[in-house]
Amino acid sequence: MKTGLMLFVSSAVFSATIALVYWLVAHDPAGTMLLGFMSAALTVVALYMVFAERDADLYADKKKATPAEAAGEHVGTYVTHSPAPFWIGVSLTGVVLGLVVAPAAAGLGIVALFLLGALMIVRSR
Amino acid sequence: MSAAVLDRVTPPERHDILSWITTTDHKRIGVLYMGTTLLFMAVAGLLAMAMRTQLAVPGATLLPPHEYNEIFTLHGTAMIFLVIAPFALGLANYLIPLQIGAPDMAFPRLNATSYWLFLFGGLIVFAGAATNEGAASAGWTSYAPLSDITISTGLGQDFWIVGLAMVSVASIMTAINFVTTAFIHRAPGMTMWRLPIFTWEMIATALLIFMAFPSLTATLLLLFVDRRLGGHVFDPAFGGSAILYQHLFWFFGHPEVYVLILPYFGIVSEVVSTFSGRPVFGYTGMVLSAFAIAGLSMGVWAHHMFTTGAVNNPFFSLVSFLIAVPTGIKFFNWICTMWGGAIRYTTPMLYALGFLMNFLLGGVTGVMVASPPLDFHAQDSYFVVAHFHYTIGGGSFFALFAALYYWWPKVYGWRLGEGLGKIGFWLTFVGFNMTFLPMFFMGVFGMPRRVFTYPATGALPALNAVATVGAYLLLLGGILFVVNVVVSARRREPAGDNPWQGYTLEWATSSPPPEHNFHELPPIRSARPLRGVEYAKAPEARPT
Repeated sequence: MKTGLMLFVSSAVFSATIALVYWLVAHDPAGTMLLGFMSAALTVVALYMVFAERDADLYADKKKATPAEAAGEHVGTYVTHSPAPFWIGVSLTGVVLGLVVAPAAAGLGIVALFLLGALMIVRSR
Repeated sequence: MSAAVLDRVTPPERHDILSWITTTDHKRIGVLYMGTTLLFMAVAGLLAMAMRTQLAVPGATLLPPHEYNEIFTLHGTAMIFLVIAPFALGLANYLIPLQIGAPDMAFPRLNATSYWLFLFGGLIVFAGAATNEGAASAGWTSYAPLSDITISTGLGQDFWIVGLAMVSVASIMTAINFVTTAFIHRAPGMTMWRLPIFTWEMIATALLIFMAFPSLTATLLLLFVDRRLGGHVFDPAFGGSAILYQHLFWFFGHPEVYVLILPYFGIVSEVVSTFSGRPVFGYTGMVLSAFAIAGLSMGVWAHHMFTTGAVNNPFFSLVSFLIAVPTGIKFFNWICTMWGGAIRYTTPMLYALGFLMNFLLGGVTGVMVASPPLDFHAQDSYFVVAHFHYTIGGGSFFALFAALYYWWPKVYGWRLGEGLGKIGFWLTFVGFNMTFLPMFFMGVFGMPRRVFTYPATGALPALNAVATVGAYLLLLGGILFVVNVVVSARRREPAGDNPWQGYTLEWATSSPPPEHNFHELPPIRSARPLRGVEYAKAPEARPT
């Protein structure tokens, strides 16, 4: 995690430096803003990682850790199938096509997304 | 993650169509991604053949001008957004969890959603061709005001915008998934500095996507507002700025070039290392150079705008030159990896060597056009077409085929035929260079890009004829790959778990891997964990 954190911190510092140098050299507001926003976005991720890193205790970061050491009581599960992604894809396609050709299609896409949300809430109960 | 997770009992895998539509397994999503990109590649390749046939002789009438514009727009858009970049995302989907010892991606549902958004977005881009006025025809860059509603009046341009917006959002979601998975879901002992080079390159690529793709999404949104909602963001007549479009687009567009190449650097690193029988030379240098390339590439966007007179040419020229340094480090590291190694000239290795030769020419000519005095002559000429095809076509395309031949046995459990593979490589290599090498000279002789015909004077007719013959050889190479797949699928010779004697973690599991990836993980004590397993079995083999 420390390496990951350093990655984002150094990227944020680098982009802020480039933004400053670019402004001093070119006085171009468009490019400076783009670089500035990029630096800000990286800083947000880096800040999040500062807090996440404090709580992280990854066996992956221990050079001599083994799978047996990392084993615990809790057995994790991974979802292997879900209809939601396909449904979201179809619904959003309806939304964007509706924006271009027919507002009704956009409406249908939005309704489909709401239906999916409702279904997932019901299933989670 | 625990051993219990890895060994957990899972129900038998389903293989019906519904199971593929609802899958959230990273391996299946990877296969879906790669299969889709290969289909898009076939379509985009046929569009390229139509263009080359039109240009075979001056004054040909196969394609009218407007249709020619639509075809080069769809060809460029598909190859960049729907083939080269997403193929790498698909491969990474398949490989990252396997290479780091994880059972799946961090967010499986998000992963599947990314794929469906990518697929539907791509189909929408192509669907523009079915509208009354045809597909988008403003080029893959769709500069304003060329893409404005007053010039590009058809719905095809709108389909292009919303389709690519979906692809852009899908890419950002995938990048989030990659970084989270690589940071959090590594197996015990797989420290960051033991990650395979391919995974590192994908982390750098994901970082680039974070930084660059929001700019693309915003640009597309603003263009849509201009076209459909009466905006004037890029319209100088109402206080907007067409140059702003170029800034926003290239802030995405140049990093995108590295999104198209960094994953393929990773593929070449893995292939060259395996078939040279040596670890990657300068592991740390390889990793740091990837991030140096990623960082510097964010500061070079306006070298595409030298001739506008609206940007600071010396700044962008200098930063562009600097990118040659980390790229050179990678090149020398690949050469040093091979130096003194026991090289096996298998099909994937041949494609990796083809990559090195082609990409070198693409890189060197990139340094040339990064110099404003030269760029003023080369701008919008076939010299630029040749340059970027040598980087993206000769580079990424060759590495893509190296990846297909290298990891095919892991995905399907049987390997592709070596004989047909090698014939296909030579056809592709000769065909590629016959097609694109003459284009440097066409550019020097003044042939502009994106023209549907040219004057029958000087060397242009001969150069174009050679390029067209080369393109047909490339097509033959592509057909031979399909034949190889069909023939090899009929034979289905079992490849075994580790047919190439690779040392990264994906070769430690069965071919194809089980749904949960690993029944048992080996101890991970280096960047080449399987080497450690060999030493444990035969301690005398360990170098002293």
